[in-house]
This record gives sequence, structure tokens and C-alpha cells, in this order.
Amino acid sequence: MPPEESETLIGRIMDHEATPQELDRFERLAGPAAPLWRTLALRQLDMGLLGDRVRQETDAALRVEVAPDAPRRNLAVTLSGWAAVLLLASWWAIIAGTGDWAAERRPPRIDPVAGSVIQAPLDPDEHLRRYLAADFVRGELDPIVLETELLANGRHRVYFMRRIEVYADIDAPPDAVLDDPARLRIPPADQRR
Amino acid sequence: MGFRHSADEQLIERARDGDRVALQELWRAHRRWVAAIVLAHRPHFIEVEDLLQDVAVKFIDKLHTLRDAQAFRPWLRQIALNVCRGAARSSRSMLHLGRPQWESADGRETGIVSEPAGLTGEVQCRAEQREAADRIMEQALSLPLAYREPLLLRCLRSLTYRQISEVLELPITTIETRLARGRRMLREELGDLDVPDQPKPAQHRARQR
Repeated sequence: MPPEESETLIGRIMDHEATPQELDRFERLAGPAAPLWRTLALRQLDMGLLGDRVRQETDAALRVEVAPDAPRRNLAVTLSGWAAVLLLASWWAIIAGTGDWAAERRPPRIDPVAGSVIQAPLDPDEHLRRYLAADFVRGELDPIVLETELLANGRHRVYFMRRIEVYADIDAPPDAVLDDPARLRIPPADQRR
Repeated sequence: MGFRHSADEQLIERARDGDRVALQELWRAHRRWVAAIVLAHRPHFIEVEDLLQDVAVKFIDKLHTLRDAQAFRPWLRQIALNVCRGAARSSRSMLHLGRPQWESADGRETGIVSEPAGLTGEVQCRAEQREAADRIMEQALSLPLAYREPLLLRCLRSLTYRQISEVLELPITTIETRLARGRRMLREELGDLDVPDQPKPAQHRARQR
């Protein structure tokens, strides 16, 4: 039997892929004390050791789980302070007629059974509501409409900017935090620290 | 393609419809062999677990782009390959920080802690086994990729030849040949690694039938 063929046959036997006919063939070829038995034993030894080691290395796989909502939750948590202001300064889109302004004045949802505030992940609107309730926020000015757009589905999208008035108490003179056109040099969240 | 395949297709369909349990089941059913792919392709200084985290994230993000559920395995392998290649590219652009002091030039840990005297035979035997396993792993990872990848997939014993051929998108006969050659190359490199005195053909055969 050519070496390549015997190697393949040994592989099939080791991998439980060999047919009964292939097993018979191997036994006939190998005989009672032929080198083929040694080759088979060596391959089994190698694969046993390698298999254990690979299994050990890939045990890490068992610790990696998919949690489809986790990244979204993490993102929401990071949207606070200066990030929330940036969010406002960026283009803010809603579908016309679906803006829920009243929701901003609603109290937190109460779990009627437990009688406590539900600790659900915050969405951006809830984050903003909490931001608006902070001590350093004086209020929100009327939004400025920037653009409207007709969507393919027949609805209208309105782009507008929301404006929030906040204050920061600082020790240094105002020049230290403002440049010539009176723009802030330091983000508001950092000035409060 | 058998029960497992059809079960996967159902899971894929459910996962695409937003069923998180199905998504998790699908991941759990395949993550072990994906880890073997990552092991075969990763830059040596990045942990399998770290790369696998990235694969998991991309698996979630991109599952909706999978057009043919029957091509799920090669699709998932491609994601793992892309993550490994991305990691390799990033690492090339990073500042090389040098080896920790406890590593020698060949990357092995140096023997700072000396081996305690009077090891019992059993402990010594385990130490030798571990050393042999480390050596064989090192050799396996240095094989050409064409042999390394099927070998690592197969030695986990969780994928058949047919399944490996699906993952690697190669004919079964090619997989068989590569496995056989890879094993032979591995043994040639190991040379003096010992073999048990008595092979057990009878026991092996009993297990086969």
C-alpha cells in the first residue's frame, strides 16, 4: 500500500470514519506486528495530546456569550453629560407628528407590584429627561427647525436643534474658559468638575 | 445534510426574526469550532477569547446579511478570519513594546521558579505530559495553514469530515488528505516524542463498530 494511502486509512480509522471493509483491510495489511500498528499508535498519541491542548485553549469559547441587547445598553449609559449636549447639537430627527413632548414631563414609571422605580435600561430620551432635571440645567429653549424632508413612505421628517441652557460655577475669570467670539474652550461637564 | 444542519437552519431563521434564545443557541452550538479557527489564524500574542468576543459581536451584527442558511458555517468562518486578519493588521501598526522580562528570546517563560526537588512519579508524569502537549501544540501551530486548520478542527472531535469540508469549502477527499499529511508532518517534527509500548488495536476496533 502506498504511504499516502495508508496514512489516509489510518486517519479514517482514528476519526471513526472508516467502514468495516476499511478496518478489515487495515488489519490484513498491518499483520500482527507490522510498523503500521506503531504508526496508528503514534498518531493516536499525537491527536490525544493535541486534542486536549486545543480543547484547553478553546475553553475560552465557553465564556463568550452573545447578549444581543448589551451593546445598546452600554451605549445608553455612556450618553450622559457632555455627550448628551453633543447629541442635542447634532441633527435630531423625528418623524413629524410622533414627537412625544408630554412624555418629558411624566414621572418615572412605577412598578405597581414592587412599588419601586423599574430599573430598565435608559433610552436616549430618558437620559435627556434626567439631564434636564439636573441642578445646573436652567431649562430648555424652543427648538429651532432646520429642515424638513419628504420620505419615500409619504411621511415627513423634521430636523431641528434642541437648545438647553446650563450654567457652570468657575473659579477662574471668564476669559480663562472663553475665546474671542465667546465660545467655550472647555466642555461644560469639565468646567463643573 | 442531516439533523444538525436542519436544526441550524431553524435556529438561523428564528434568530433573524429577533429570537434571542435562538441566537444564543446558535452561537453556543458553533463557538467551539470557531475558537479552533481563531486559534489557527490568530496573531500569537492575542488571546483566543479576546478575538472570539469580536467574532461574537460581528456574528450578531451581520447575521441578517447571511443569505443562504446552508452556507452558515463558511460564513461564520469568514467572520472569524476577518477578525483575525484585522487584529494582525492592527498589531502591525502598534508600537512594539518588547517582551516581558520573564520571557526568553524564543517566547518561552524562563525558569524563574525552580522545580521543587523530590517530585513524585505521578506529578512528574503529568509534568511530562503537559510538556509533550505544549510541544505538540507548538508544532501544530507552526504547520502550514492548509494543514493546521483542518487538524485543529478535527482534533476537537466535534466536527465530521463532511462538516469540516463545509466549513473550509473544500472536498471531503481534500480534507482527508490534508489531515493525513498534517499528522505525518507533525510526527516528523516531533521525532523523539515517546509512544506507549502496546498499541491496542482490539480496543480501538471495538469502539469503531
